[in-house]
Amino acid sequence: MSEPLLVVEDLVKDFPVKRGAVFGREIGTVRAVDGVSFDVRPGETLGIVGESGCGKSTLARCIMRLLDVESGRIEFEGRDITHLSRREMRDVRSDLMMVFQDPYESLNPHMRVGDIIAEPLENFKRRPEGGIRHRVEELLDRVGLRPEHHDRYPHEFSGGQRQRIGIARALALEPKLIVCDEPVTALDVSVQAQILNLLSDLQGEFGLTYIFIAHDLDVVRHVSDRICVMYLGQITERGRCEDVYRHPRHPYSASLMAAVPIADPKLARARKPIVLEGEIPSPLDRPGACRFHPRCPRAAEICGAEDPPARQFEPEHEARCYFPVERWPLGDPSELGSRKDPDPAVRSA
Amino acid sequence: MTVLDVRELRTTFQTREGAACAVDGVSFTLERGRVLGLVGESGSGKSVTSLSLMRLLPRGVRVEGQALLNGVDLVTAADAELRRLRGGEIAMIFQDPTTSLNPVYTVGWQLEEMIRLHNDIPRAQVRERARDMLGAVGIAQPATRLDDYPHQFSGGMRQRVMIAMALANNPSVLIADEPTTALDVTTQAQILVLLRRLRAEFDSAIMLITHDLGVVAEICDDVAVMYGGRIVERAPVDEIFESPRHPYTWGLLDSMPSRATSGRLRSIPGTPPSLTELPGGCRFHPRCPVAMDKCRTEPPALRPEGDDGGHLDACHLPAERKRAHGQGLASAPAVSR
Ligand SMILES: Nc1ncnc2c1ncn2[C@@H]1O[C@H](COP(=O)(O)OP(=O)(O)O)[C@@H](O)[C@H]1O
Ligand code: SF4
Ligand SMILES: [Mg+2]
Repeated sequence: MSEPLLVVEDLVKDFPVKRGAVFGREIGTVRAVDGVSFDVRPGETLGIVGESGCGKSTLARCIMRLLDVESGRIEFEGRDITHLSRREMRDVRSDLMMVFQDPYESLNPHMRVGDIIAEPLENFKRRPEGGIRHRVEELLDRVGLRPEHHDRYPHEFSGGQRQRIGIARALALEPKLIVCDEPVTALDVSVQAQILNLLSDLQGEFGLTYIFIAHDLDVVRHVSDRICVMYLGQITERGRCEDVYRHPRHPYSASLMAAVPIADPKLARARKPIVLEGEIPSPLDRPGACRFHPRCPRAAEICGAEDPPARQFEPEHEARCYFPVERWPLGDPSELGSRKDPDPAVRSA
Repeated sequence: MTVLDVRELRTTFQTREGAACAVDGVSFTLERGRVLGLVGESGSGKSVTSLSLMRLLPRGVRVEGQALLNGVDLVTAADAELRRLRGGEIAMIFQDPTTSLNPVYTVGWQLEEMIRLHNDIPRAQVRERARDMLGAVGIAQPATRLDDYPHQFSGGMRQRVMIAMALANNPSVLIADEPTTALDVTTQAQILVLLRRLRAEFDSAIMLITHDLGVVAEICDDVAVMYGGRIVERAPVDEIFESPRHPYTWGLLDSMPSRATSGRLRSIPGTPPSLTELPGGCRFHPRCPVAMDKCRTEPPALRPEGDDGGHLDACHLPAERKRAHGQGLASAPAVSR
């Protein structure tokens, strides 16, 4: 197995919480990323999936070093980049690029498309063979835009085309790793399919590695080799994509998968829905121990008392849960609520 | 039983580039206790269709055709009549509940106002009904939550409040425009369970507008697919998924990662047309993988194939080719111009 391209170890990121609109006093902190560890191998796509507010985008911005972290380590190609200064980051920066969710907000509306794509080349003083203009036109072509688009402004483009512009820009410096944060969320389904195909072609052609963040489980399943499921700042389950989808072990991943609509009316009618009670708690009053225990249909006393350890299933497949889901699919939704193992907290009491 | 009969609805905006027809001769019916899914990509005219029916478009927008709600034509009804119908016989839920809940009034006040407007009943009874409605949509401790303001509810809870408001007067027709699009998948599942229950308990006719075919499969009985302001295919839900006939419907289904059979997705090249540059003939022809000469000039009519009156499509292809979904269609070009 080759050396990982990126290693993230026990990453923690807090945000201050302020009360009062103008002279906000800090009244506490919110832990947006709470001890996250994973690695990314060259050429693979690592999917990160979870609902809004679980910390996906914050994690992405920490990895990109757009945010400083409280603790933990980020290693790129064996080099610790966690605390590199802006200047020191320059060597790494060009290997590490990001594609954002909102192609409307992430492109400077006052710049011409060609200049947007050329900007990283200028910043890094690259002098591509044949000149910058030539390189930009090559990139435009590669992502399915036309050379004459060079002199237009972002507002003249549709959402899908803007996402192509964002991808061209990310490709300009020939990076090794691209972090895609919800890259197809704002797009219509047919355009979404085009962009997913484009990303997959580029990966094949340039040997790119992706971290692919999304809340859409079907999309993540389609693109990823391995996935991490996040809930309230933590990774609750991870594994090879096919293992996790074939048999989710954590009750949260299981509920998530059971909540995704099935695009087949007969199967949809036959399926008995598992519906989670309540909502994702505000990160301000995050539950302790297992973060999921207040909503979990299998929760026992121990779940609210102690952090569950990671349990291993298939190679690389692990979930942090005392009472992992025994079989999948469930014969009946009520099975999710009936665990077989006794509660160790009760047993020891 | 038909509750709403929409015939040849046509909505025209005046734009700088001239008149633009956002809804172009749309016809369908809503039946008691059934859910019609109106699907299509953004800009296909789904929202304008619902706003036209609710008569919520700005003045100066021309709406033509007929929309008979229990015998009353919504298109020509007078303002006073409309006020009586809206929130009473016909109600609407929007994608973004913040736009339709007033932040300065409590949720209870708004809900009670909605009930009072349409019923002549004593105050105490209004409050009781408001509380029951909040409970019915799954809000815990409804009696105390009545005194909360909209911002004290989460997104999913606000969507429930919206649904409670919409259903407060047992409407015969409920129009829900992307009611779950802004919600997380577990919250979406809760709202879908709720809508299913409402269909069964209130026997309302529901029109669900969505771009998500998964949601359609989960909850709709019938489906109308819209493209460029027109309905291009209409059929019972199983038919749409098992034997789609229109190349646009094929493209929508093939674009879904969950239905992909290989690494590449088959999809539709290009992007949906903008209102001011709608192509002539079949509006889908510039993106259609099997378009013929005729498609560029003649708009196909929405009609049944043979004697199957329940399944309509608007496409010039011969019948046997419409049944050949998936044969000879290439995967989506990543690069499309
Ligand atoms: N008030 C308006 N003035 C001019 N054009 C409008 C107005 N409202 C909507 N449109 C246009 O009508 C078309 C159909 O829009 P809409 O019904 O919102 O589509 P959908 O709901 O299917 O996404 C779009 O091109 C949209 O830009
Ligand atoms: S009418 Fe022609 S262009 Fe339109 S969908 Fe059918 S084959 Fe394609
Ligand atoms: Mg809409």
